[in-house]
Amino acid sequence: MLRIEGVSVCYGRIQAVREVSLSLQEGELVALLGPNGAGKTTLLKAIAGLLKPSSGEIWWRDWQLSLLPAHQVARLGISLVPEGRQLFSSMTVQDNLLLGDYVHHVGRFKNLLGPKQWLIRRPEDQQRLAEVYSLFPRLQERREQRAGSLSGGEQQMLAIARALMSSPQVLLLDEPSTGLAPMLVREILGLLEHLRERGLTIFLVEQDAHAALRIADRGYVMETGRIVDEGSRKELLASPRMRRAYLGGL
Amino acid sequence: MPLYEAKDYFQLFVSGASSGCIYVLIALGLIAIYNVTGVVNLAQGEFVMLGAMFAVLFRGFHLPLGTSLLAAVLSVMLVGAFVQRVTIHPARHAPPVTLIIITIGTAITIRGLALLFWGTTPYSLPEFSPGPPVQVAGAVLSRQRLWIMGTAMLVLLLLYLFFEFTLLGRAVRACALNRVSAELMGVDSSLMALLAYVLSAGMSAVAGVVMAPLTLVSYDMGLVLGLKGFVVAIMGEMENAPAAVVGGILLGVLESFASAMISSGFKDAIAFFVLFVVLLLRTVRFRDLLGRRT
Ligand SMILES: Nc1ncnc2c1ncn2[C@@H]1O[C@H](COP(=O)(O)OP(=O)(O)O)[C@@H](O)[C@H]1O
Ligand SMILES: [Mg+2]
Repeated sequence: MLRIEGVSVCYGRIQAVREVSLSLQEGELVALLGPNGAGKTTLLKAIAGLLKPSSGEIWWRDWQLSLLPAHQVARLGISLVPEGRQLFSSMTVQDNLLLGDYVHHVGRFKNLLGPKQWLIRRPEDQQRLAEVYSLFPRLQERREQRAGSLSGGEQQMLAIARALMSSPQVLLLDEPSTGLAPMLVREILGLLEHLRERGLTIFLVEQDAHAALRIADRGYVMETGRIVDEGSRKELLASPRMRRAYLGGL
Repeated sequence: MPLYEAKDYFQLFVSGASSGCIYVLIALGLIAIYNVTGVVNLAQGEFVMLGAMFAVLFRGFHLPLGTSLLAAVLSVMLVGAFVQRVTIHPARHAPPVTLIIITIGTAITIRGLALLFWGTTPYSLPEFSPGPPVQVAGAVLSRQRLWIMGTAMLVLLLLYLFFEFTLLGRAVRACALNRVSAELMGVDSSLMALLAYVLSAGMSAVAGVVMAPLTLVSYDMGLVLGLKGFVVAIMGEMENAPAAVVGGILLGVLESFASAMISSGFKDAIAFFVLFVVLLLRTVRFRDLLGRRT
């Protein structure tokens, strides 16, 4: 279980997240909704270890994530697909995926210093690559292309594929649908549903409440750093506050 | 002015190119550190000096030459690791200007310690394979110059293989491209910064070791070499390794022609003339250099 207990995060004197508490059961797909500037990205960064909470604790199973640097959090199986994708754009698609695979090779000098061509022929790595390529066939076609030369949709797929290469237990996604055509948004949501069915725990940050609530089990709503509403998908869809603010009188 | 024949030009070109190889090794170290940590390391030349000095020192213990050279390079890498952890790492969140000043302090400290330890006496190291100069297509080259060029090429090849074809090399590159993303992939960016620093110190030490037999080795040789490496790194816009390779060789060749045809007193001025021209033409604006943080 991922538990966030009374977490506050500050940028200097600005408090972007104020005493937020929430939790995710394993295997759940939970949405975090809220307008621009609510503090959603800040909260995700705190979970991923990129920002340190000024108070509160973040627990994953028996580890207190808020004490660990980001690379340790990633090695525990918590993978963030960041806002704006943050690909290594001058590297090839396959090299981006190989870096996603890095967690499996930490401290193994033979794998780290051997030719990367050998790595992708090892059965485990080959299987992981084959799996993400079967989820995203277009990435396989473009595996020797520079990541920066992909279309927006393909870049988002690569960002998710790269995160999946680390075989995560928890996938954190920061607005994966931003800037994508409706058809691509549907494709990505379908994919997240599929991953959840395979047992992945997913925390999905979205501004588009319609889209997120189509697939989420539960959701939280954040405004100016606080959780202002929470509940199951049905409860949120029926909540007057949600209908007024985010669902446009559904 | 004496008249030069074609083979004399070739001679000047080749001996200049071999000096250029030294600048290339220093510049690539600077570029590696800058891209992974955002630090312009003005102490780079001191590692060249330490490489040469340690080689002389180990040679004094009556170790075989090959062993002394290897031990010298490895010791400098250790010193590099120590320097990175003690000076750069604790200040890694400081503004770039602070970090540059720290590296200047490091350079002065290393030079001062070298002065205390070795004094002002210049030392010398024997050639790796003593013997008469060799003729290459009409040019007469000392054997050591062939060693310099061969070693530089080997180091470049190894670096290329490391950065392009190994996962660890890709991880170091990833830190240079996007440190936050690299951390999210489980890459320990502070360890990669250490690795980049140690590799760079090693490259500079190799430069110091191979050039030592051609010059006298003294505690203050690092300053000018470090600055020339910096000029070459700027020619590669602080990130373009192939451009730095071409730039370094070009600088060596220019120096070689200028000291033969104008006056040997001009040799060290060339680098600064080149820096002036390069900065005027475009490349890195100093503001970027001071303002960039990865
Ligand atoms: N690097 C930063 N420095 C200072 N303030 C920031 C920084 N990043 C975000 N903020 C502020 O924190 C608040 C929350 O931002 P953010 O977490 O990005 O919100 P969201 O992802 O919900 O749009 C905003 O008021 C924003 O201006
Ligand atoms: Mg955001």
